[in-house]
Amino acid sequence: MIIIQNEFVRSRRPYIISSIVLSAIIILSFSLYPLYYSNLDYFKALFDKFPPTTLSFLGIAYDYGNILSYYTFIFTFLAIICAFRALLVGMRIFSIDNLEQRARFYYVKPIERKRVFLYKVIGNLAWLVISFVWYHLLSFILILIFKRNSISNLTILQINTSLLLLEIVFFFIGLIVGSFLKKEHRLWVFALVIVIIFKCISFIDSSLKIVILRYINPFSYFTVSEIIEAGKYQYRFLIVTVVIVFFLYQFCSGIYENEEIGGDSFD
Amino acid sequence: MERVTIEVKRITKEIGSKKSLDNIDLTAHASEILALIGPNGSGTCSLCRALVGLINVDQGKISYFNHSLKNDKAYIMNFVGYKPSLFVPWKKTSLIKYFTYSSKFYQGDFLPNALRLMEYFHLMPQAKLENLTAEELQKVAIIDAIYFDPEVIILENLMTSLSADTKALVKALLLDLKARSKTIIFTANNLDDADFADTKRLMKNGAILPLDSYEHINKDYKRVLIKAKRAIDLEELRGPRYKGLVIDGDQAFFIYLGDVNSLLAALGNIALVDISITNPCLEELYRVIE
Repeated sequence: MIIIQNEFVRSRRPYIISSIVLSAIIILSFSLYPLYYSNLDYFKALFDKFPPTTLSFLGIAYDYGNILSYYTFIFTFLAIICAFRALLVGMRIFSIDNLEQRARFYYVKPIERKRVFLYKVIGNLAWLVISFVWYHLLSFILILIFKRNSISNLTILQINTSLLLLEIVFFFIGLIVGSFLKKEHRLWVFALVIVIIFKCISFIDSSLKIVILRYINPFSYFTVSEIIEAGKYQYRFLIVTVVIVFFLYQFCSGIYENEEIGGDSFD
Repeated sequence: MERVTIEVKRITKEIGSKKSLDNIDLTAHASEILALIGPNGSGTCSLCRALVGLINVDQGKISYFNHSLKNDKAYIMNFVGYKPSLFVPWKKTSLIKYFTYSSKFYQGDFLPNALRLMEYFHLMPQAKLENLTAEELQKVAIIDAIYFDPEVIILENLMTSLSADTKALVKALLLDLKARSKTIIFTANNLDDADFADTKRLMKNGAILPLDSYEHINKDYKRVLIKAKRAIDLEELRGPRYKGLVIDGDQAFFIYLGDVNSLLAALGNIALVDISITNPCLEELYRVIE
């Protein structure tokens, strides 16, 4: 429990900063919705000029006037920010352990390494859940304020929860990438490149509809347009998410358990 | 003889094609101070890291109080304190916060011990770790290894970065711990820092040298610098007793294998202006030792 507390307190800064940024973006975006709605004809004419693939990639739905369609467009960018954040904090777990010798501190304490790793993961996942709850409440309130027709609360919850699931997958991807970049200081560069690569895969996927790409790209697991259409997640991608998280956790836990400190020198 | 606390049997660790630990056997007892002496790269710190499970050995077995380190590490670490060679401070953490957190991993209230030791080493509990000097960080690392009253204390590069005053404090502290039946193992880069140890083991190329090697070296090897009235002839200092011989005109430097009397007798044919006979440092010895 003390490791969870310590990890929770220690890692608060990136979560708080990113939550403030997300809040600012979503408040600003929704405050522009009345302006968007009053110029809907102009935007319709503008969007009609784009090819369907680009609109799909940008998360712009055909029902332009609906606030959920508007939210889907904002959500595309929020998903990128959240994926970047989750990836970065996942990568930092191994990196900070290495740079500040926290691993050395824990490894000589009377506690099993796999439990240390589990507690560190829980401490970070707690932040992901807290920031999700905050984000969901804020977006829910904003949608209620600005909506112009009835919207299912469950759909809003499902859309927002897809963001949490996306973050969890990217967090574990970050863990495994971070285990190979322990001595790297500029992790954000790697995180940015990885998110861009996955987003490029998204673009190729939306253009070419290659089935396998959907399975290797977390951005494609829970698309908002599909959630709005079907009113539920695709179960196969829920299963894929659980399997990926389970294997990445086991793999990273194994790395943490067998890691050597100072084993590469001859002192 | 006090009870055996650590037993190391034939441990080996390879990094690449080189052995950092080579077939090491070691036993330590309660109330014993054991010094592992060797220059950088000799394997002393690798052995310490293996003893606390920071590196995994390829072969062999390490046990504490008959408990295998491999199987019962979490339990064993209740009784083992460890000081790394380099203590990297946690950012923006004060000493008191660090030890408050660290002490929560042990059963019992050991924070007062940490505070007492901070006072002993003249450290301010509210000081931030990142603002401490290298010597102060060494002190913190030593406190970290002993404040929870462990039975076995393993200290890497114990005296590095410490002033003479602090060294005296550390020696007094370790002798007190020894009196309380603790086992203390530490590494040293030179012979002088290990003078208070009960057992001194020399390491070279990842292996422990024979048991009598420390006494043998300390007694039989002398570092000699002479200045003669005339240029010194190489033939005058030829022989198996003169190691690492360097002649520069009327001066010569060498490590002499033998006692002082035989040395003085051997130099009887040379008209000397000055002579310096001291104990060689470890690096000099390791260059000439077979």
